[in-house]
Amino acid sequence: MAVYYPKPLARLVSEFEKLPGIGPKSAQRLAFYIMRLPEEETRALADALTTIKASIKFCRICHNYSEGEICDICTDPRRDHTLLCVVAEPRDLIAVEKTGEFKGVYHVLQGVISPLDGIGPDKLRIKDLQQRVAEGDPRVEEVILATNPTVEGDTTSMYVAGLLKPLGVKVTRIAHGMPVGGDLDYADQATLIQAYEYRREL
Amino acid sequence: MPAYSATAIVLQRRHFSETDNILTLYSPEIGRFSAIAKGARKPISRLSGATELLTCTRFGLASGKSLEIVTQVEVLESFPALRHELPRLAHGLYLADLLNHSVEDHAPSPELFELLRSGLRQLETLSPPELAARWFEVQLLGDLGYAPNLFECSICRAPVPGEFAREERFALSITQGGVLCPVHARPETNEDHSALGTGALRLLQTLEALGLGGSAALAALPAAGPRSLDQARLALRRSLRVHLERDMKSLEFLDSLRNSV
Ligand SMILES: [Zn+2]
Ligand SMILES: [Zn+2]
Repeated sequence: MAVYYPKPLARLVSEFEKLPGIGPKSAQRLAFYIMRLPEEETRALADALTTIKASIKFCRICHNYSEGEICDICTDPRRDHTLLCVVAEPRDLIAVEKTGEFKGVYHVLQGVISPLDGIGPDKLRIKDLQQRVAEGDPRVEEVILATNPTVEGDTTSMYVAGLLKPLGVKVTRIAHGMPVGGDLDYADQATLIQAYEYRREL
Repeated sequence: MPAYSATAIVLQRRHFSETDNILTLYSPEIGRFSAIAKGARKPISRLSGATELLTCTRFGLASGKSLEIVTQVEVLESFPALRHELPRLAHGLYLADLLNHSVEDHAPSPELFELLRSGLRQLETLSPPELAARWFEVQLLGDLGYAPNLFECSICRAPVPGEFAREERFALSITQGGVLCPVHARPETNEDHSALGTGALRLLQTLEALGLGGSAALAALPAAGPRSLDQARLALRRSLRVHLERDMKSLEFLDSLRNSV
């Protein structure tokens, strides 16, 4: 298909095609759109793309994306630094932040333990978490594990809990089971079993 | 698109796109095959629980152009206890990993399916869970045609442990295809010889004698000591490595758990 395009255009289309959720059609649409943009707008876009890698780093404390050495959340004195929420990816942190309910701080593991893919604890920010809780100032009182209810999420949570509990910190995991607005009749056995396990008294 | 249904256990699950997963499934009627679960990564998907790793599911399938497409699911067995204890879950993943790398696509074996299902069931309750993995490995080797001769020395044909029971110095030789008596075992100098004490030898013999259908008896076995369990584990690992020509990735995590405890 790329033979229909002049080479530079084909290159742009194929770069877009690598992006998540972008098929050949959308890639072509984006490329043609960019062709029609005024010069300064394409420059601004190109500039944003080339500087992102250089100007965004990982926060030294929580390992979330950050502009400076330490991110805005970790430096914020209004956040509760005794309450630590552990997430797998920066996008999970954003999801929790969007709720506006959580006032503590975070630790981003930068992935989950995935034994079948050879991704072990040493490839993640787990040692840093252990150290952070052990040496915490102020002292971390509760660690909330907010991993997905998948086999990899369970593996990661159980592994991390095993490391942190001996440090004398309270370790909890977010509840999982029925989705809000879900229907018991439609839930599968695995989901229902979990929903029962994580039930609470009213 | 011809539609059909099949019971299968999920051996592997990989992200395919923002919303879809590719599953590697093992079915008694079909053997190993891949299928795409569209939308399984969305939070409210009927597919997500049923397409989770180590779940035994009744799948409705349609034959697509290159891949089978999951159209319907019903969870048959989700082995929930595996999700509560790390060693059980890690061993469960190892069994799936091992089977995944021991078979070809579309080579059905109801026996191997049953082996995996009973292995996962045993892992839910058995103590120590690794015993279920050792039974699985012995039976898998047998089913693949690599059953080691465990009851007589592969060189002099002397019955083992037999008169050597108190000498403790046996070995499993992969090139000889079986155990060696203390006269012929050289585990210190011969790389091919995995050291086995009398306890480990007896454990392997018992696990083999249980057969493919004998997993229920695992819970009633006399407890094996840590040394015997270690020796059996290392000997079987070496056999599997030679016959399958690879190490399972899931072993790294299992080993890291063993070392940290
Ligand atoms: Zn931070
Ligand atoms: Zn001999």
